[in-house]
Amino acid sequence: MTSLSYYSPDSLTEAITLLGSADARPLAGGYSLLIEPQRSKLGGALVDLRRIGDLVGVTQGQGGEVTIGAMTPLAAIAAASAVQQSYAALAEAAASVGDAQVRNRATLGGNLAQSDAGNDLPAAILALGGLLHVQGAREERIVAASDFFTGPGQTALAAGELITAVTLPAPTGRSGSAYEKMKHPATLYAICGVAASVSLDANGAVEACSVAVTGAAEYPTRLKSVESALTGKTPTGDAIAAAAQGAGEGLSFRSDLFASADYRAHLTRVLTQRALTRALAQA
Amino acid sequence: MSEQAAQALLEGQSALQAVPGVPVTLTVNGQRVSRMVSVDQPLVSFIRDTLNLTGTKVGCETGQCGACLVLLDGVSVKSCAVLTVQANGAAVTTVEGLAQGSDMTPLQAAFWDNHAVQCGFCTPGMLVSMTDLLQHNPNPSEGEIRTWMDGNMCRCGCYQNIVRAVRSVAEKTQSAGGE
Amino acid sequence: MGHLLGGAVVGAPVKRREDPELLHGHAKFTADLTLPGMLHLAVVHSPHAHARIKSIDTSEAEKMPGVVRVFTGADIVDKMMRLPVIWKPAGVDSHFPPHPYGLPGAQTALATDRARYVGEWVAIVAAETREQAYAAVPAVKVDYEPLPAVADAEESLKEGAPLLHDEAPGNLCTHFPIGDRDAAEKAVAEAEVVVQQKIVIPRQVHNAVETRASVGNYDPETGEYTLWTNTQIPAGNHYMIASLVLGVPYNKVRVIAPHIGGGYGSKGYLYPDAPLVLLLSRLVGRPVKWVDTREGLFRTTVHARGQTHYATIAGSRDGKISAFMSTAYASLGAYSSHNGPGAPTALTGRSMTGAYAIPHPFYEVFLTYTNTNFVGPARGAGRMESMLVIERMIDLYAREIGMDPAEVRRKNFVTQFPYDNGLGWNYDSGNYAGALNRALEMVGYGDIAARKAEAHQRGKRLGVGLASYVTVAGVGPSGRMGREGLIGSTWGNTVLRVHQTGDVTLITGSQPHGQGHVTTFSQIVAQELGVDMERIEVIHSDTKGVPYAQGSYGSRTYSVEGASIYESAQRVKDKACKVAAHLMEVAPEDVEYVNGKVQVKGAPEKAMGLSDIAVMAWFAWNLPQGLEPGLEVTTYWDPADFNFPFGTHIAVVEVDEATGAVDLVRYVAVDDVGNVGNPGIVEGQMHGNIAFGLGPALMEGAFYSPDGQLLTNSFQDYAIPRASGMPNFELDRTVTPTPLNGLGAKGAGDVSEPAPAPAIVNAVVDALSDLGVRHLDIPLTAEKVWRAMQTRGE
Repeated sequence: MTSLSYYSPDSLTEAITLLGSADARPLAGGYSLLIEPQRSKLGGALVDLRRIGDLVGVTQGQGGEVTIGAMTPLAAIAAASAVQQSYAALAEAAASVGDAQVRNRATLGGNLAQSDAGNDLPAAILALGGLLHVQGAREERIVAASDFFTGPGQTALAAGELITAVTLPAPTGRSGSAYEKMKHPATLYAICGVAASVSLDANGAVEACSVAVTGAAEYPTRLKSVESALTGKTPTGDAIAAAAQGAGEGLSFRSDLFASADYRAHLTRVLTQRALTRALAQA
Repeated sequence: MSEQAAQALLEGQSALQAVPGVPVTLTVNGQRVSRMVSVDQPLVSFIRDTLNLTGTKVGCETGQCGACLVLLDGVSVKSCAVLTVQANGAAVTTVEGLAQGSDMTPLQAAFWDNHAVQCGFCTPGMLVSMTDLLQHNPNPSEGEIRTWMDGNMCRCGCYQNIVRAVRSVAEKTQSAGGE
Repeated sequence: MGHLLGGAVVGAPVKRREDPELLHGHAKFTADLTLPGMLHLAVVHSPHAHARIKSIDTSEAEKMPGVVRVFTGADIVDKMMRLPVIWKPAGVDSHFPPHPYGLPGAQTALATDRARYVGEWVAIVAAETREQAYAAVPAVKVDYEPLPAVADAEESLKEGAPLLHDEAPGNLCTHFPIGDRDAAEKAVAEAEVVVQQKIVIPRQVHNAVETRASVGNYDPETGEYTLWTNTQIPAGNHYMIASLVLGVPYNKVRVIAPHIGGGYGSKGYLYPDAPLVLLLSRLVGRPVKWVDTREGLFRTTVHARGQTHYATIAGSRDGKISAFMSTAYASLGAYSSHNGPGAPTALTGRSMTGAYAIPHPFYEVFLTYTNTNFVGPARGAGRMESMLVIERMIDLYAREIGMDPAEVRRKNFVTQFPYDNGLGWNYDSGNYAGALNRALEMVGYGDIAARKAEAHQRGKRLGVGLASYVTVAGVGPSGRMGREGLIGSTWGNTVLRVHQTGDVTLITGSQPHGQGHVTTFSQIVAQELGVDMERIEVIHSDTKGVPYAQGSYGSRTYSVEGASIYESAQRVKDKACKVAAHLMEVAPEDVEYVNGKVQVKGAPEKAMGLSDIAVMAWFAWNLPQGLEPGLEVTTYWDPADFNFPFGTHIAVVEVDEATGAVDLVRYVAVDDVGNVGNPGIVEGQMHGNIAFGLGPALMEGAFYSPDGQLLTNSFQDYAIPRASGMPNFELDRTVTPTPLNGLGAKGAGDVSEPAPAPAIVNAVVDALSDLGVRHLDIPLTAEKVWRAMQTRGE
């Protein structure tokens, strides 16, 4: 049995200090670290972030932007009126995670930082242009969501760094967002999840469009070709369908017993079309 | 903060070491309990093996089946995915603590009335889960109940009668509230 | 006897007596038990599907904290026998590893020289705590020499396939044919319409939420072995462990089944742990406890199904079926379970023609050994496979001749009872069209076209699928089972004792694990004897003091054990009448038993209550000549034959045109299980049957790689149905009593489990039929359905 230590700091500073040790790792909701077979293999130091009060909550800033603490439980995110009103894709993604008990305990930061490719929130945060507040021993930095997910199981977090919060920019004018998901029947993770966020200009043309996929590709990623295909266009059903056809171009897809890579690629197109359609209906 | 400083803090006396154990104090079903536990002991093992409260069950240890649900500070969680040390200072309610003695909560009584129990192995987790649901949503729809139940597996297939039991509690609450 | 069942107790949805302790969390399951000084066991599993075990080094593990001892096959091989197989298919040659007593043999509790499937038990660690035992498992060093492996039944029969047992040339356990092949082939050759289809039924894992567990204790002073284990068959375990595995006197073994967290067939076996914990307790001198993990369950608790059928249906253009044939391939696993051959031979084969009068049926199965976990019955055992095949073939035939599937069913239903189906079953009673018509009415079958059009507007393909089933239940007539090949018996057995106070004790050999036996059995006794339920205790699941009986499986409890309780009650009443008539000084034929009293016919004011009669029978001061004291009977009740519940289920599905995702939007079930004891409990059993049956249709399946690695090891890769994936089931019952028992009751516990898979597949194929899709194999994952839509069934 490897020896395991546990720390429960009540300040971010102390947590960051503890995480400066090579064998220390942060503990958030615990649903990936503390289940078997992972739990019996745990060693080193766990730094539980739960007692750091500053990391929990949903707050709306002066400019209308919303900042969500990294340790905010997913259930609270899904239920927050500020999120429901302006960031439907995030509310839907948070509500679609796992089951009620997972949503009670799993957190925004954990869902983003954990490497599982089937997590739901990365797609929503990518599509909504989230800015991740990352705290390290030396500095706090802001990482755009689109720079955060860097490869299979990889993120922009350096050793010892923590996500402390995510800021979602204020929606502009006529805008809307949505999250579409096909659940894995066993794990309830996303076989494919697509989030779309759109805003329209005064003429009803697409001013900005951001689409991201999780679960299907090797890691959460924006679907840039879809975005560019739709931006500037009048969002007719045909235009949406045509743009969605480009979803997933150039990506490589995952495969398991329930869904092959081909099927995931297909789902990426279908769910892109659906997410865009619903997002536009709100705008 | 340097690696050395971090190591110093890790080795400092604020650290809780795995062996021989660390002290925890919890309130379990209203009783304060203090024990030395090992850091890697999951809460479900503390409840079952240390406190011998065996109403809480273990079905999978991978966070799916929901047999191990308890209320942790009033919120339902899977106690296989929580370390005992994480629950230090918290209030835990297990199935044994839902009602006093031989009494039944309205939900337990509704399970009984509606044939919502078969083998009874998922029942503790189901009761805990549905107690949590009714606390924050006293009048859930059938669909809301079913979705909330995604964290509980019942292989006997009692789901429909459990839904009926929860609805019957909700209906009674609504009619009492309407008077 | 139907008049007895209209009363207030039997037939009423009485709340279960079992529930309060379950609802309070006080009920003890095997894993909840702790004995003083108890050690904990952890198993070392083979990671290889097939490997020679060259050596095992336990020295490092034995130095680990808390480890008391590590056992290997060499430590036990001379102390316990190979597990037995007690089902040897009759009338055919069969090949098994030999058990020392000349029986067919199963596996040894721990592998010795060779491991033949992933998960096979190779060694076992005993330690002070469960955590310490598991921590030491990786330290047990086993030197394996991997061997070629085969996982598929058909592949295992091919020339050059790796061989599992010297005793089974070509990996064939048996070839089992039933029916008249020549006549069936002739009918096929002469038929106007012939439809053929390969149908693959993957393995299902029962996945009780409670894993298996055993606690063993050996008392050196008395020489008694006590086993607590979650078995559906405590008496069967007792007999096999004492006589066929450990070789100790029968009365030195005691088996207790505590509360059980679901079985569905998976706990109705003799597993290696049961005798092993007893032997290890003796060897270490302390009680030992083993609780399986979910991964262990996936690998070594029995699997079910796993059959491939090549089916042929033949008939006329106007919808009359003349012949049905199927050739099936099924694997027993690396070894047979103790009743492994039963499901694919008799249960599937004799049920093959379902609800239909088909003049020329034929079935054969090739039963093989493969490098996989062993297979045995699950809820719906054997009949899920046959119902899926016949109900699919009926739909394929209906489509071929352009006839409504409901009409084809009606045209071919068995209507005269009793009916000999030509494959070995004798259907007792039925009204198959009645159940079908009721289900069609409930679902609104006439409006389907309009609903399809409406769904299409929403991007959905709506489909409707029928399944009319008949499932053998009420295991069983012992002689019949013996002729089938069962080395055992299957009668019901009851002790019914009226105490001198009028309180009643019922002792049953039946074994409840969620079906509410205590409540339903109490209802029978309360009704028949006129005693309050609260005054009746029901004792079960402890072989010390409980009669030797058969446990619970195969929908036998109410129609066999319940019938034996009913017979016991009649005999208690007879004796009460004799005692009371004597005391009241009237002739025995002049009294009658009415609602808890013996009264003089025509003069009901002259009567004695049951408690007065019981105390006088106990005093025995003044009994009729030759009558024994006391008011107690023991009944052995062997049914004359099986009973045959039936029904029709209808699934309505919507298939997402873009993703292939199948949404089960309505589910209608009309079942007929004869008279019922407790409709609340029976309704719950029907919900359970549907839930257990829709899993394999939509998402479940245990799969091996071709070389025998199990790909589905946990709930992360094996899905079971959750509440949100099911609609509210719409249930009704028709009532056609059986003439075979005093209750008029048929089995219920697993009888409708076979219906959901064919109903759902038929519905999905219906939804896709205009694309040319004829058939899809389960599970109907979204991707599979999507691909069928892309390729139009090619």
